[in-house]
Amino acid sequence: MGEDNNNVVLLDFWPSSYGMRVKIALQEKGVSYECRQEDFEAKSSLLLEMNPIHKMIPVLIHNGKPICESLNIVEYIDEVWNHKPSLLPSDPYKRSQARFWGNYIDKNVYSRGKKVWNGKVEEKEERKKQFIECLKMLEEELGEKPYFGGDEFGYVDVALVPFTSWFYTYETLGNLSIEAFVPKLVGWTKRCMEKQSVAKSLPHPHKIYDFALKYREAHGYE
Amino acid sequence: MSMYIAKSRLSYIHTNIHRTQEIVCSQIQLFNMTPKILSKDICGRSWNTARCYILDPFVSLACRKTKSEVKLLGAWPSPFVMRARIALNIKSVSYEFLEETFQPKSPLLLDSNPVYKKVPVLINQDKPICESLIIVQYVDDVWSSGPSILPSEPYDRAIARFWATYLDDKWYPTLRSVRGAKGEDDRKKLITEVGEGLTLLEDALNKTSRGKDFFGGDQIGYLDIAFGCFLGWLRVTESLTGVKLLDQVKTPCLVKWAERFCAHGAVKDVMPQTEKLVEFAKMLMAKMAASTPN
Repeated sequence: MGEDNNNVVLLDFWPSSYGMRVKIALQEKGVSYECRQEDFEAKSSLLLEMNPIHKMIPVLIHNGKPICESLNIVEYIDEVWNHKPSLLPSDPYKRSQARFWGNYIDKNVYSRGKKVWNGKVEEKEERKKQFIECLKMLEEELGEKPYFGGDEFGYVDVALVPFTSWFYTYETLGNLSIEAFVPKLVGWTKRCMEKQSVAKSLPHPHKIYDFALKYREAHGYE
Repeated sequence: MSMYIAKSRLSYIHTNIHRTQEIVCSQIQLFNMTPKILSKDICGRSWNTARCYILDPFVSLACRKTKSEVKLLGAWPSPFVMRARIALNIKSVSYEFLEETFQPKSPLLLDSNPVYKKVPVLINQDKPICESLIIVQYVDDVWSSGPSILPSEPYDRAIARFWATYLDDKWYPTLRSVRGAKGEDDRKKLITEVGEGLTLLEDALNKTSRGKDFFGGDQIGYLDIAFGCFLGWLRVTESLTGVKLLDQVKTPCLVKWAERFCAHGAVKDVMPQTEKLVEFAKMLMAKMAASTPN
């Protein structure tokens, strides 16, 4: 890719774990990009033009062409900027497993996590249980490895680590201790935070918490 | 006994053929077995048959037809299972198809897909791969010498993946809910949404095919497989509702594409007949009605 033809713009919303995934991937590859914040109450014409189907962030715009869906974007980044570090493994079976767990995280973590801090009071215990089950499944997959990718930080780590910026919010508003249930996963979180690409891309958990409180107030939750 | 182990023993013998007699003798001691003739096929050359015979359980396992090395656990009505079959057919991979029993779910299914307990599951050299689109990509990665399934350019790949996710997350769930719609208004609304989705896909076909026959260009590719597998159930919905969804007027390119797709060599033997699917759908609907309290 020629340096003079490498315009990269990311349409983002700072509390979004999906947006953070893309930032981490771009940081890992050392790609310069312009980050534009979207306002969900007033979506920009650029967002509506670049993602007319879903009208959601993140959208990566590379030389004017949009790529949507965060894990799709992460794969795209890995393929275009194909120097090391690689995010997806080269072995086909390991790649399939990485995609499987990325997909599992997509289907479960956000939706179950949201119900913990935003759900009806009477269903709270059941929702907490489901969220913890999901984290335990992921901790089992991690096993004794330093990262989901093995010795190297990779695709599944990128897929999951942004949600950890929300752990303080889940714990405080959900009244639970994540570390008590999944200590290895919390250990993995700390290890990931030592990486510059992650530390630079994740907002401080307290900022996320303040956002969550404002969101709940604006939407009439207790 | 793993096929993987069998194959590596076989390749050891291939590369160490001059030492094979020693191996043979040591195996006879190791296994303490009555020897049996080793097939000429295995080593590609004949044994000095007057001398040595072996029974190597690993090698004789490798001698069995390698069709069973690749297994696909599936169900004939499932569009997701169809995706895996089409991908394997494109690559001319021999595989053993295992029709899942359900009720109860087989031990093989529960063992190989403990997270979701769903078909399809591809089992290659005893390793399971789950989720249809992940299986298709895996098949493309492993059998890389066959025709490509994913496009070669990263941007085109991203577009193909985007539409496949759209189909799975939005379009197909809407199509499914048409059959279970409560009331005529609800059904009409859902049918409209399905139609709007098809208009988007018509546009996507025009953009990605670049004037060729398929989403993938000259040959069927990832997005053809991801979408084409739903054609059977689309026809079922048309049959049950009496509404033409794939419309010659609104989506003329998709209509032609659907005919070409269904006639393709990799597809036609694994696409279930619409009549059989309609019967199956009616049976499912009857079961659901029977189990739902009034």
